[in-house]
Amino acid sequence: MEQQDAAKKYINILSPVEGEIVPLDSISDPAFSTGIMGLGAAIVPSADKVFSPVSGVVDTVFETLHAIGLKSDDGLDILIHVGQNTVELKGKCFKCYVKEGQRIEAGDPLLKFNLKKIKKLGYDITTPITITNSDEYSEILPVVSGRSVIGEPLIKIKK
Amino acid sequence: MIESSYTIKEENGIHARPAGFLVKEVKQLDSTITVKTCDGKSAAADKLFALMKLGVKQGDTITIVAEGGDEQKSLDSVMDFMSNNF
Repeated sequence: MEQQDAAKKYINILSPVEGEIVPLDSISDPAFSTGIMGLGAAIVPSADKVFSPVSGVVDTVFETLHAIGLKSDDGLDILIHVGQNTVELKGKCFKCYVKEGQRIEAGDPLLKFNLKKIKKLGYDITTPITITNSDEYSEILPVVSGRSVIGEPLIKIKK
Repeated sequence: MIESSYTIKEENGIHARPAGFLVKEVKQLDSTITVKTCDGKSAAADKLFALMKLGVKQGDTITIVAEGGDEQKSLDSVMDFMSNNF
């Protein structure tokens, strides 16, 4: 029983995009690999849609649509940053389905991106999912390899 | 409380990644740092999402406010950081 209670304390962040899971520290950008943007996971997408990994509220949609910030019902600040240096695309190749302040449930579509075009333009499409308020949690346990399937647990977190 | 203004030179403004570095810098200081925009919005500089939401673009002039602790030292550190990164 006690074990069950302990297990319940973990919050699950679900996979937001289909693809291959890689360790966050494999990203070339030190902002992500050294944890400056928070701890978390990374996915090399094989599909072009991002779904919400949690239930909560859309906190920030960056103007260029390459990054989105979510506040989960559990208080997690989650940043999904599609690709590396994709701010330079200035919104081209991205479509956003949600607005700041909007209520979202886990699995709701958030963003669509033109995977082929972004790759063709030479950008690394690796997409980090980080907890930007990581320091408020005691344990952040990401999956670091394998296939990313929408809705399956990606990061386990303990307060 | 002391403040100083800075005009953004970085082409993409204050976006996610450099905002992350700013948060890290600010968390090391002993003053509370606030960023204010010319259109009246403000954000705690140690909050990534709040900074991103300001939507600060190239050419925008922002005001950096330092409050508490060694304000001059903190403000100097942030202003140095801004000129090196934004």
